Amino acid sequence: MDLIPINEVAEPTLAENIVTMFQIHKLRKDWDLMPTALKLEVLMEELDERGDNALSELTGLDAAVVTRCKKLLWYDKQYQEMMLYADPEDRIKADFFIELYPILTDRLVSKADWFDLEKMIASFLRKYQNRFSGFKAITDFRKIKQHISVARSSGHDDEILMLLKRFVDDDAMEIAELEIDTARFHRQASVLLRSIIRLRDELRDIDVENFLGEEELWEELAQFQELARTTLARADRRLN
Amino acid sequence: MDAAVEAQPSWDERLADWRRKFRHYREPPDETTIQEWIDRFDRDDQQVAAKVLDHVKVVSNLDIIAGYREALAALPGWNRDPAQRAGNWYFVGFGRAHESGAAMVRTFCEANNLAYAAFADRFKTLADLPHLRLTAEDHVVFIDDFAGTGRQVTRMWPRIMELVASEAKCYLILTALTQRAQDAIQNSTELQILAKYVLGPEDALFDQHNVSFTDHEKNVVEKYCLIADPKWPKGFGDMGLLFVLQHKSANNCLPILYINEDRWRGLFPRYLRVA
Repeated sequence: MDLIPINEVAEPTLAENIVTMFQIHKLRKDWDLMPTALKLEVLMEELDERGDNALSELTGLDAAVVTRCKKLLWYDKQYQEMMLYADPEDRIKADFFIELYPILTDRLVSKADWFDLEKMIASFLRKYQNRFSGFKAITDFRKIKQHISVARSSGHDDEILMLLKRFVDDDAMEIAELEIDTARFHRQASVLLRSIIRLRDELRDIDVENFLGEEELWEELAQFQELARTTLARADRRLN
Repeated sequence: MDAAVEAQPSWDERLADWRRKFRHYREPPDETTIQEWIDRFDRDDQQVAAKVLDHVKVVSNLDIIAGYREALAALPGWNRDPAQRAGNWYFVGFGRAHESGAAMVRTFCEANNLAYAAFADRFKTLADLPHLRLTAEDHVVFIDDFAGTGRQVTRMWPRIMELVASEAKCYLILTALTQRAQDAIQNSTELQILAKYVLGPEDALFDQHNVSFTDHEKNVVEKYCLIADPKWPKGFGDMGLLFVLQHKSANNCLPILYINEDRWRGLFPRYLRVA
């Protein structure tokens, strides 16, 4: 045969290549978060697209994963390298930086006259790695963020900033010492928790067939489900 | 006294030989320090300690520079002149900012006369790789000093592949690596390795194929290594290397050579003590 038919395919663009890779990875083992974030950064630059939902649709990544990646990209290159080289046994992985992000970018904290980003990161790295200041788990950063938010909403801005400044320098100071007026939110959370548990138990026990015609119940339940989902997302909780 | 015995150097001459041999280490030991190190061994064990020192190799900065120069010259397609170069070339220090790879980039630059603004954009970090639009025509050269077990390289390889994300050729230039690391890297990665020294069993005292030391001598050495480092008495990877780079001992070396604590003072401290 003198002629061999070929199917000529145009060379893919960088963005097309990356999107294809994301799609392949969706079917295979997930990338680590930091390499994913760096790919996403290239894609954002190439397509001039920064919206979480649009990027989620393009890549097949969950929108929450896109948000987490963007948090990692906020950090300076030296910390990105730290994540890239992280050993599986290291305590410092992408999760550390994701949980620290809301504290570093808190509008009250980041505007404090004593705020020094590198010093803050170094302090929290030290505390977390050595379990200083009562650090036990990555979720302890959420307690700190809660203490800051509660203090701000109750008008204790100066007090919480003073405490946080001392906390950054003092490895003996416990996380709980940052608490100002958090008790009322603990009480509110306890009431909410009891209500949710009661509702969950009641729902579990109903015989669905007996309620099939209760349209209002099903509509309210669907709205509740959506509200629970968006509230979890607002709290940066991973959704299954 | 026969001629063979007369030919043996005196103890003072041996001390002077060791001092000369070890002079390239960043904090070179003098005769007094070497004698103090020997004195840490029981009298009956001191000949074994002396034999260990006879087998230690310290690689000088000049050796490292020569190795980096030879390695880059050996890479097909590389040329200082961008017009003569095949594809784009990038150099990446392997490891975090405080680790050896990043530090070795400077030596690599000096070795290859690349410390000029014209080459500045050739030097990148791992996080830069996805932005480089690498293709099959391009080359990424990772630089480090030493690989003992190859664990760090093989563990990082899947991540490196994701970041390179192309058929670009990847090289790893080292000053030295063990045969074990070479096998591990070649089996688990697509990196092409270039190293001045490939260390075999005779460079690793605890290697089962090392025949320079008898089993009795290895047991004697291990007894003191247990004092130096009770956790890793044979060094990381159980190698007990007798090979020291001028700027730092690898953690795969014999602990009696590099531990710098009150319980043991090695001749080639891995970490300097604050005075």
